[in-house]
Amino acid sequence: MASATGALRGAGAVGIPPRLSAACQATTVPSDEGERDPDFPDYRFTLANERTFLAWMRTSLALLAGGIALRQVVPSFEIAHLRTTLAVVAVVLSLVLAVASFVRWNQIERAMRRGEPLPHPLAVPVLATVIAAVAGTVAVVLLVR
Amino acid sequence: MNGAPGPNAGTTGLQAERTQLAWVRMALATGALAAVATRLTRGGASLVLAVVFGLIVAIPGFAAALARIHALQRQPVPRAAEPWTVGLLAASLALADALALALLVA
Repeated sequence: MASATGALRGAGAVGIPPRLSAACQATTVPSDEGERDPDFPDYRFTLANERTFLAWMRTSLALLAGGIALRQVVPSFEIAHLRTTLAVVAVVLSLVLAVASFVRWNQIERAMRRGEPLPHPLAVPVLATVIAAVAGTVAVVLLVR
Repeated sequence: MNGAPGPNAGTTGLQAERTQLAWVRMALATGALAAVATRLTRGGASLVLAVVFGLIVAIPGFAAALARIHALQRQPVPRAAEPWTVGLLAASLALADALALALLVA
């Protein structure tokens, strides 16, 4: 129990500490001392990685639904093809996220097993930038109309 | 806090349960997307395409969720998800994205 608590403290609550995956690997199953397996990371971390993957997939699904809804529900803008272009951007981002989330899940699993630093979440700034650009464009078009 | 085994010793706590609920949410989201896709069509050929699109997303979503939830319930100590479970979900969504993209551009 003490090692697990130490590992959680080592993982930290804010940001991504450089040696988080080392802490993950060093821990053992906290409540099942008889089933330690040094080849597998602490299940709490691997399940957290899995939930993060699922959260990315839901984000990707939301972008796909948003792209479809933008094309099918929103009235046409005065600028030709703008609505379709924005829908295509949302769906392309959804596609990128679907692939990137699987790659990232795999990279994190591997890093935790090997005790390497976790890869940085590159998709977060990309996602934020593209969504801000799409939302900003829609806002400008609606205001100018 | 004193290192003695607590009342939940021998269990995996709430982590596995939270993960199972995340898979349930994911399956529900795929089902909802499939339903929305069919509702947004105007019938005819586009309805057929929307149903195909929905099946591409929903069936692998439910299958992956069921497989993973079943695995988590069987394992006394949770292990990492099988790559095929995670990959199936990602691949089905990527395929649905590609289909939606083709329909948007066409």
